[in-house]
Amino acid sequence: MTLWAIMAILFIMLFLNFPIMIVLIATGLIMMMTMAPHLDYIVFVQQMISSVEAYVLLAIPMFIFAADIIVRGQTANRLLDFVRDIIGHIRGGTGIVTAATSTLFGSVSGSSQATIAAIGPPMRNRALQYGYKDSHIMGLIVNSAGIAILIPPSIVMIYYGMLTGTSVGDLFIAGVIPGIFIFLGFALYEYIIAIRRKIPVEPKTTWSQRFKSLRGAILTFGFPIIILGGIYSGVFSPTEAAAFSVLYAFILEVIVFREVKVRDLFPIAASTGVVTSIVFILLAAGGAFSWIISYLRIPQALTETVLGNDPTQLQVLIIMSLFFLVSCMFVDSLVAIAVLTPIFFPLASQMGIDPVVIGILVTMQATLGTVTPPFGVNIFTACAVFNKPYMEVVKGVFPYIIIFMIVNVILILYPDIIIAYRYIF
Amino acid sequence: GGGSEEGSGDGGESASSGDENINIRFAHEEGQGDVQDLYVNEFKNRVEEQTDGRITVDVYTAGTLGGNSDMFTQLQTGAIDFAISSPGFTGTIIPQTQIMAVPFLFSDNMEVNKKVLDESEALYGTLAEKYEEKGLKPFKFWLEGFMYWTANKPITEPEDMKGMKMRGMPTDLIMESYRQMGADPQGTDSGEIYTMLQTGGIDGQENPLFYIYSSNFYEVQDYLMDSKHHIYTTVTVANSDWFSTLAEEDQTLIEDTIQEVNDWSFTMQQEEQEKAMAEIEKSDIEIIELTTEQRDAFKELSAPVRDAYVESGGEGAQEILETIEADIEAAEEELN
Amino acid sequence: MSKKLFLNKPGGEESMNVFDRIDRVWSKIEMTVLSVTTILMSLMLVGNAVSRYFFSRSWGFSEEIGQLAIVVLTFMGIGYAARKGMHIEMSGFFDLLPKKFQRILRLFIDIVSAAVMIFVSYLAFQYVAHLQEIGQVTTILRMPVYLVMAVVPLGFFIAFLRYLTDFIVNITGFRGKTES
Ligand code: NA
Ligand code: NA
Repeated sequence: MTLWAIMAILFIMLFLNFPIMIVLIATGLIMMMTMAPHLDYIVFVQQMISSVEAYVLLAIPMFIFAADIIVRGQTANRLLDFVRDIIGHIRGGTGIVTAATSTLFGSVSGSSQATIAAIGPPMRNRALQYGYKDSHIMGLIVNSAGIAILIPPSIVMIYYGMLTGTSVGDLFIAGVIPGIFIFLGFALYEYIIAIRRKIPVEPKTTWSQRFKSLRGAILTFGFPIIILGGIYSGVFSPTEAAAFSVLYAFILEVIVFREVKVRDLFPIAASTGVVTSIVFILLAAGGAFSWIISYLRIPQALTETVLGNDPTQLQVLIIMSLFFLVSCMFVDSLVAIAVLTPIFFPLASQMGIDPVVIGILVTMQATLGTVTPPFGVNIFTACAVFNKPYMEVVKGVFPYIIIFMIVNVILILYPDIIIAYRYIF
Repeated sequence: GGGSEEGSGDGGESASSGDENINIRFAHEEGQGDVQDLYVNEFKNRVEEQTDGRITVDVYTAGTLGGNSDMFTQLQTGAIDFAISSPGFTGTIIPQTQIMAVPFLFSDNMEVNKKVLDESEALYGTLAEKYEEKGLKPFKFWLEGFMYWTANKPITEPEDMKGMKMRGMPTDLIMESYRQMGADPQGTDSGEIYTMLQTGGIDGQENPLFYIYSSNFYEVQDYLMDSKHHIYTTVTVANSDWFSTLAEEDQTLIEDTIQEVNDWSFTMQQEEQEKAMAEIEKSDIEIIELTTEQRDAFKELSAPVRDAYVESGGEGAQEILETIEADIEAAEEELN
Repeated sequence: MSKKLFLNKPGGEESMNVFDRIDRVWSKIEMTVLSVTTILMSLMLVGNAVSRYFFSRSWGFSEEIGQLAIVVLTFMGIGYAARKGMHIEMSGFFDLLPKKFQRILRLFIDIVSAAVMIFVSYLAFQYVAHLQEIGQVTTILRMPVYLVMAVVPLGFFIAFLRYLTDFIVNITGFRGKTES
């Protein structure tokens, strides 16, 4: 009873336009006071702090900082000019390139939020110039960045592998195919939308023009080299690659192009700090909120009620996916996985469901959870990075979520697709 | 929903007879099916069976209530009642616990280590007091097996270790010990180890065997060194205020059960290592057992860490070190 | 957005000037903290990576400083973001309401938010006191943890002041409007 009343308060507060940070803190504390009154409430503060302290999260402000620098300088434009000259004449090209870049970047940085921070702004600027609707392009960025978790390296898969003893290598391979499916779905949608909305194409450019913009852009290719090359060759961890992209942005914009002055860096850094705070206070509040939920063992109680006894394999997969999806909406995916995996994994694996299948479905829900309203870290990040109201970002996400959902449902109904790689490789 | 509102046995009324319903919240640092999880569940089963369910145990696995240092605070503030808390993670709060970070301190004979962890006055006298000062009651120290090195090349002599990016728990004593052995120690976040090993961002790492298996590190490494440079030790602790409110019979029951589970855990962890080893052997990783001479070369290099411990281990550190060294020596004489 | 409209309300010129001045100075301090922290964090991480690959020597402390820096950014930014109305909210339903309801609702949101912030600030203060009591130090630098974590109650307290100020400013503005 108490639980449902608190959930009602949560949604009412959200509707009434309370800052989401306040909603999560207030309802988390109410839950603690009513359902676990013996607790020392400082645990709530401790959980807020430790939710933002994870080392891997450091990449996010670094990518935001690098992006802030290059957006004020020339890098972004030079790179995008080059892309325009190469594929600008293809219908839907900008949308497809945005999806491809987000997917690629997300796949290596391992963090959807870092992806939005790093390449969201330049991609969005250019797409707006081409006549794309803002909410459309934001929705695309929010969702294609989500694919990051499915394509290796993936912290979610490593964590799941650790908790369940599933081979991370197998999970990595198995994640690639659904990841590509979703990307292709996005690309197709972009193509169709470009035709239907008659988004103008650029005139086809000459080879000498292309060569000229290549020369202008050549230094900016350092970014993918640092990030993709650095991580895959093992020179950098994702966090270090993020730090190096700040250094490279500094060298390019301040020393080479001289568009940004050293003293400009202070306001840029301050703005990075504010954007980081806006995203991270939600991670903090969400972390404390989910702590109290797992402390009260609410997921365990709910699963028992929902599953009953003697469920079928399909029922288990559906309920499991729903639980993970809803949890990943509210809380950080790693926390959701820590709480739910011990509940569902034994059940599902005892029914003969392959651990890799379970892992990929869990990862799918984690991905979806970050892009689905009302709570989605990617949506929040986009709001903060683009400085746009929540509703405007949310407006554009639905077509992509539908594509996500279609792939998701196919995988739940035909889980053998996930392990099809074993017959291919 | 949410049928979990009953508080734990911290009602405050000091019941003298063991007839009160008690719910124990017991957290540990590892994943489902790992050594600590098996330990806690064994404790749960035994206690629940013996009391016919009057005492129940809720088990919280790694990550559900936060990381290791979170768990420690939650134990202190009474959010949880019981925990398995590894000294490796508590050095920032109880510096004396860093004794467990000194490599080559323990014997290569596991029976010796078992005896010392079970009995040493260093642990149950001086060190236990330090826990008590922080509001915790340590019950028993126990072990989760020898530590192993993994790498993409064999490590048999100090020359091999030179300049290696070696990952260990990010505490200053462990980092220092690898520096002394000539490596370039890395405190890589545990979530990043797999990727960093795969991409070569780090060259090797140390962990107990069951963890190397459950975290799949053997998938991305070519060599496994049975180096016996260390054992992974941990301790079962409770919030002391909470424990003292329990009826005396219940306190005794719990203490006895922990002792039983502790004895049981020694065989259990051995079986887990064997299981892990059998699985790892199926992969194409090469396994190298270090000889006593080879171990001694590393041992000599890492010796200065003992001084570093005395220096940073706070009050009583010297005494703890000397006592445990003497106890290990005595046990070796008795058992070897 | 509606917040900015309210702040331009007439009346109380004298007191607003003092208010404004304090506000401006305080915003500057916040911006400086955020900016210096971000830059310090970048220097640490870049420095560590450079040292690691070119000189084969890691700075053990860089990760630690990075993690502490992120705590500083997260909590020291709350107040500034509150002042600028930048915290993320689900504005859809709100935007449909008549202006008058929006104003009343805004007052309600500000005062409740202020209450939540002062309470969390108090809890965070207790947490810091606890850290001081147990004397926890950071892993590598062995620096007292409570010193850094003091930014947490401070950050919430600043956010409390922000929401409270907004509430006061808006309620006086609102009264002025209805009376005229
Ligand atoms: Na990825
Ligand atoms: Na969501």
